[in-house]
Amino acid sequence: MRLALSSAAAPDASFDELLAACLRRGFSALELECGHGHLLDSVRAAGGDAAAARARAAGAGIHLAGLRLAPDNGEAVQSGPDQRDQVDLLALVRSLGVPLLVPAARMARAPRALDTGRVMVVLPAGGAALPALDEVDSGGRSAARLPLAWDVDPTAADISTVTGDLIARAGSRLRHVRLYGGGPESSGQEGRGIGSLMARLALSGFTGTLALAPSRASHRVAWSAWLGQRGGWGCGSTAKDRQLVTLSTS
Amino acid sequence: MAGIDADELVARLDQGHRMPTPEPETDMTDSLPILSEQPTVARPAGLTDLDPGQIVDLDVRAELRAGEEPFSKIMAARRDLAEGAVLRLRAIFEPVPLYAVLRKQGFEHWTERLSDDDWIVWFYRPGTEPTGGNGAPGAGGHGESVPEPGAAAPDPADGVVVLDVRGLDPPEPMLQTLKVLETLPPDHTLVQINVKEPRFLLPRLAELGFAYDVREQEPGLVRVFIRRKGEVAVGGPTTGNRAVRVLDVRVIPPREKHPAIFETFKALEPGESFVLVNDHDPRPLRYQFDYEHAGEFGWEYLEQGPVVWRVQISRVG
Repeated sequence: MRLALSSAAAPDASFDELLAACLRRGFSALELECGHGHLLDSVRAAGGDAAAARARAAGAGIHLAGLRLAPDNGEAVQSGPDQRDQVDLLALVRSLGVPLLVPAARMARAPRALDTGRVMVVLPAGGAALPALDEVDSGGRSAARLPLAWDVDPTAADISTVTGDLIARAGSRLRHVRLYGGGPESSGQEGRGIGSLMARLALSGFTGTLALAPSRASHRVAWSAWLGQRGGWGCGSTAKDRQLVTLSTS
Repeated sequence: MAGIDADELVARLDQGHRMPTPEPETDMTDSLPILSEQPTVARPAGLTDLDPGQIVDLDVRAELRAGEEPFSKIMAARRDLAEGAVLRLRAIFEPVPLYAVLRKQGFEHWTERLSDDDWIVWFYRPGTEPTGGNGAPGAGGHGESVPEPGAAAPDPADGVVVLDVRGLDPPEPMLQTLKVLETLPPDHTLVQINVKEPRFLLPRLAELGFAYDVREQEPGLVRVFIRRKGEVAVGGPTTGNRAVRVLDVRVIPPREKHPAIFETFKALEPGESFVLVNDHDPRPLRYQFDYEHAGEFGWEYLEQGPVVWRVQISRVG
């Protein structure tokens, strides 16, 4: 299992700032979400280069865990190069060498993605996860082989009731878990089933990614401080010359 | 093995235990050991050319089945080992805690799993093995030539790929190694030749599901043997390869950490282990283990900060 930081914890941070935050806090992986300050999914990003980003991450020892669609961005999977403000996401994930994380509810609008071998279906949090898995598996043999991601939100409800069943049903298809909370929110999440979740994942031999993201947008200030960034994330993300942005572990 | 008939060897191993002789296609003398939590490599060359007189056999299966502790018997056998001799231990589970104990005494090991409750571990002193065909200790004992820096050697028939990263500047050694691992065929071993232990690579390997073994041949010459582990089905251990169990407690609320750790430990079978990941040295936890599970656990640091601590905690039978 590798622990990942989600760009949702610092949506304004540049790619290099995210890498630095990972190093500072001991994350070995990074989950990227579309529309955030890393700009990898924006054609307007100056000097945006997926291959170079991938190399920088590898050089820092950080594994890129996946590119996640923003909640309202399901249609982007079907877009191609003719979408002005959006790169071809499928081409982008190929360059980055990562899976594209697509919410289960949006899979019906992204049939093209199913055949690429690059898609990971995200099951929703809470009691909706198992019905969503049923729906994915009813989509035919190719859908039933898709790797799975799972959103876990212990702040919404006790996750204990779902954890065991879902881990058993998903088996080795479960490759990515996004945990809402952890980090600076950890001490306030007692009794919500996180300890049991982690124990069950360990005992099942889970070797995928566990990504941490804030449970609420209002917690981002706390996350920013916890990640070691005082004030806002820098303006390096708009710098034309990315060589000016350096990794800092201070 | 040179000079030893394979069927005779199998019969000797089974002697007195009424074990069924394996079918020829499962001849264990030529099989690579199946990985559990411990990394393994192809059989070292020094263990294939041994004179029978150099092998000291110690079978502790009966004691273990009787609930006895054979540790003192094992240590006595180790003490009495002549120069150049090898201790071949047979047990009903993989004696993971012994690896660290004997490593501190200068012994390396190579493990064979014959079945779920039948394990053979070879303990030997490195550097006393016979040399390979090219006059120098081979990376996998196969005498293959060392390739150009950064170039992976062609895949030989025996499943070993050699990658010499000496002469490459960081982060190229890690990048090249990870690149080769992406396409490493199943049941193959990658041997990285380095000038020092690749400290930043090792935790990444564990996270990516690879097992590894670091051997310092001499100052400035380190070999890292890397092999992929199989995935485990949810709900229980498999009868074959078992993936590394990793419990990362950094995300667990403080009061739930120790309960989660002990819940995981108690679910282990004897001989199994998991890797605990924390953001500080879990020394208080160690004290709690000493108090509540004295003699029942193994504790080995895999990484000691400054940001991440990893401890392999094993359940001793």
